[in-house]
Amino acid sequence: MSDIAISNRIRVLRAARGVTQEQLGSACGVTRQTIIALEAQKYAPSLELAFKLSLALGATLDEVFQFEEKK
Amino acid sequence: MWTAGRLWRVLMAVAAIAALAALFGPADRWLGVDIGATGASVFVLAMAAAITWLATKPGEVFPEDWSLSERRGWVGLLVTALILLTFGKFLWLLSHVDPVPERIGELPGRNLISLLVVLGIAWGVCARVLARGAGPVGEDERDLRMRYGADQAGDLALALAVVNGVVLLVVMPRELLAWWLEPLVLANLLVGLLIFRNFVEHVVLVARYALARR
Repeated sequence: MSDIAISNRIRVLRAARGVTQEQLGSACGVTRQTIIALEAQKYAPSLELAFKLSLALGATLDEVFQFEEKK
Repeated sequence: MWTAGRLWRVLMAVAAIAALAALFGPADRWLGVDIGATGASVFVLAMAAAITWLATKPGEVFPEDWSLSERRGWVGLLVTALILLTFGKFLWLLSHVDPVPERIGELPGRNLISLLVVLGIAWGVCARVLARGAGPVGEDERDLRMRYGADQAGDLALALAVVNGVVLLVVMPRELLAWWLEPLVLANLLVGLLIFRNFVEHVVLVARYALARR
């Protein structure tokens, strides 16, 4: 799944806020394994989950996710 | 050094060999030992040990980045593979009974039916035990996406198997089809199709999780 064009800064933002993967997962209604996959850039979340993550991390969508158009 | 992971793999290997011995062991005794009965006993003991291990220390059995759904997928894959093997053996036994029984009570391989029941119970217990060790969220959108893809693959496999059956019914001479069209054989084949569909679904499910991590 290395062709995912959406990257994220979840790991950096989570560490800055001192939140564990388990806590972030619980806050967003997803498993810890999904947070692990997201941080490893191996999973592109749904729009709903992207908003939930942004809210939980106290950041805007743009600050958490970046989109690179692949040519 | 015997790590927990290595011990688990050894336990699974013992269970698999015991299941094969129970299913395909020789009818005669070997050095005074009934291979089939011994294999069945060792298999039940190995399953009991595995379930106890899963219940007490699930973190030692599966990697921590495997979700509950993936863990259940692996257990389901093992169980459906064994069910498929058991079913194959049952059909093989049935093919050697002449004439084909007309009532369910006359079917051969009652011990295999008991084994199927044990496998079904073990599957249910494992699923419950795994859920106990999961975090606050059991399944999420990633798991549902994985399951959806696996479901589709299972449906496709079932459709292909049905089409294959239709082609065989049309192409094969009637005398070659006589055994396959006996009511009890046909009924068992239909059950076998459902087991096959379930097996394919679990293969694809664990493969999708593994590929997603690469």
